[in-house]
Amino acid sequence: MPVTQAWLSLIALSLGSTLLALFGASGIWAALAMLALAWIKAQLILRVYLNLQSAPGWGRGFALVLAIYMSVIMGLAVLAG
Amino acid sequence: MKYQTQKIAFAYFIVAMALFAVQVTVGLVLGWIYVDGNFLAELIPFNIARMLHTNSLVVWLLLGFFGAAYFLVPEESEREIHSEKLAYLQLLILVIGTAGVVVTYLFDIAQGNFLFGKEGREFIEQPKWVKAGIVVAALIFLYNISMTVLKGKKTAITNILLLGLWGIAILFLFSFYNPANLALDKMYWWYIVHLWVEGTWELVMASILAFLMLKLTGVDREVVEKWLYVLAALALFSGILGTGHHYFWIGTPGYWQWIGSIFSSLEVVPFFGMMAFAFVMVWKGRRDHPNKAALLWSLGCATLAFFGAGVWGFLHTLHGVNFYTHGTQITAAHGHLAFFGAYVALNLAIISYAMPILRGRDPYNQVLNMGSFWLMAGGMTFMTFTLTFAGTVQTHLQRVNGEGFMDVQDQLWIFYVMRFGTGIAVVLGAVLFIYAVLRPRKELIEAGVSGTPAE
Amino acid sequence: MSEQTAPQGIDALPGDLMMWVLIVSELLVFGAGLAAFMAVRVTDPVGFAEAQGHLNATAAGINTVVLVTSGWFAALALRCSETGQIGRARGLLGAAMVLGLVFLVVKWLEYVAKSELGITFETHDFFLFYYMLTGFHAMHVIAGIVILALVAWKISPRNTEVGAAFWHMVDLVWVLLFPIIYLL
Repeated sequence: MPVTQAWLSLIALSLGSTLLALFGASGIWAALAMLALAWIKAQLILRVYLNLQSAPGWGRGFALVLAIYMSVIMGLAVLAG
Repeated sequence: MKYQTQKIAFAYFIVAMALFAVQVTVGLVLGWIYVDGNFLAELIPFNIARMLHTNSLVVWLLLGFFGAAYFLVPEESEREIHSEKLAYLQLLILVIGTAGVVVTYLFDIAQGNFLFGKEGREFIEQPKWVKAGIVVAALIFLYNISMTVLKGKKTAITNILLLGLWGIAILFLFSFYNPANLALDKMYWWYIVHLWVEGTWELVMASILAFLMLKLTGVDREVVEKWLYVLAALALFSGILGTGHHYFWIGTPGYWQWIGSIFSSLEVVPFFGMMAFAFVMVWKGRRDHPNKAALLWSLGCATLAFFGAGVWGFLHTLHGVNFYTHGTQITAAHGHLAFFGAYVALNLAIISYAMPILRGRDPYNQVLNMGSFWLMAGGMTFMTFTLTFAGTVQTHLQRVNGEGFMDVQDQLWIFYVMRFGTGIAVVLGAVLFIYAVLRPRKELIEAGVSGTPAE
Repeated sequence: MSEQTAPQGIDALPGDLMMWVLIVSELLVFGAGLAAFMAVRVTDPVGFAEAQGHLNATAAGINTVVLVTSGWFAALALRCSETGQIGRARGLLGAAMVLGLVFLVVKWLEYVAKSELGITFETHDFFLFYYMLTGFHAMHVIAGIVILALVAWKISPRNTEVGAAFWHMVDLVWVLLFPIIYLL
């Protein structure tokens, strides 16, 4: 994916989470949605900006660790209710 | 011995080993004081004995580092040490200073005197004249080593070694600042104590290990250097803000609990890295070096440092855990295995490697020396276990149940008896080590290949 | 080793090994800090929600766009640097730095507003984490601007790649920090 496309996606995702917050979305589902958007953004930065797409093995490794980490964060968000 | 001035290291190693003998002997006495509280109470109060035990440790480890630098810098820089005379002058100043501290403390002379009196600050209690002497000695050393490196070849090993040694000297300057506020005193105090053992000393450790791996395994210098830079970066990244794990309960702001917990947890990483480094190098290495004792000590150092400093450190570094375990025997367990694994074993490794060369007794397996490794490492490991159990029981009885300190100590008696037994093993191992490196003239059971294949 | 084989292991990582060591270390630290925040939040969800009400999510949202765009400029600068368009690469690095400064100004206004309300890191656990994590992050933004300036001065494809990688790390931390601290 070229960097400009990644940038456009990042902007769109950021607007998405800000809009969610502005329209007063709250509760567990809103929190999970915002975290999911952040997860995609983090993944875009790792793959495109940091160019891990050129090193697929490392890309998969980072993606796996990020997935475990985001699951923990989402779990804690659910626990906090 | 390729360079004549490398023999300076011999004098440093001899003094270091003499202090090592003093240190473990006093350690044994202390071990008995834990069993029989009044032992020698009139003659050498516990706090003085403890000071001797810890300070002789720090001084002999530093002397070992100096010796190691005088031994390896000529080989790395490919030239003689700048000034041999200055090197011996430096040793003389350090010996006089050490003797001065011991006499000042044992007989409490010049009490309260600005220049000659003890300062009563654990580890940096030296009278001011000794501190000044240490600074002069350090300046001589840094001048001598830096001149040698500047005029000769610069390698990653000498770069990291010099970074560590300069850091040690600069951080020591904080010992001259003694604020009246006890919290501030402790805050600056850790700038020396912590940033030495969990920062600058780790750089020295990584570079000496790298030198030993280069010589003993014959792995390419390029590979060793890449590891060395990564290890140094990891040590500094985690170690500097890791100082925060000493700032949990001394009156510093609350955010230190999180900064300290997070960064000091990462301090495990460089120690794991050093262990991985040592084993990967041996595994990849093509050289079958005859000095098996040096290799054993190197691998033992990396492994025990990971467990002692890394695992046992992590055990009580999170502030939620440390709230209960602070200052219990858990700390003693960690302190013993960490210092033994990381820095005692490191010094004994470089001494085991250098001594046969310095005394012209190559090739050399040193079977007795290897025996001393197992005695010391075994004794120290068991000591760590007994103290860990003692600390766990102590934490529960004293910090959870709220029983009185001395009542709990009485109940820990059996652990202290076992610890004394492990102490005997360590002392015997130390005596055996010193005998092994100084006495036998020839000791070779496997020839090995000491040549230098494909450098 | 022949020239044709694709690089293996650590050699496969794009850019400089030491920068990746730093990036991973930083991610571990911020990751642990944010996880600790989430864990402490479980013990006091109401207090955390109440404290969060004092934050300016719109300003932080704007800062997200600012930083992500800045990262885009840095990534474009690397492409230009690799194709020898030195002037253009320097211009893009400059633009990335200016946006970094914008981020810091917004952050500064945020801190000023907090301090006018008398909020310090001792007010509540939430603000302890807020100041600690966003403060650490802001320090990295400052460091990143300095690094980008050095890269623009001594420009080369390799330097640009290393400097931009640090900048992207700062970006990455922010996109995770933003929802956790400001929105949840």
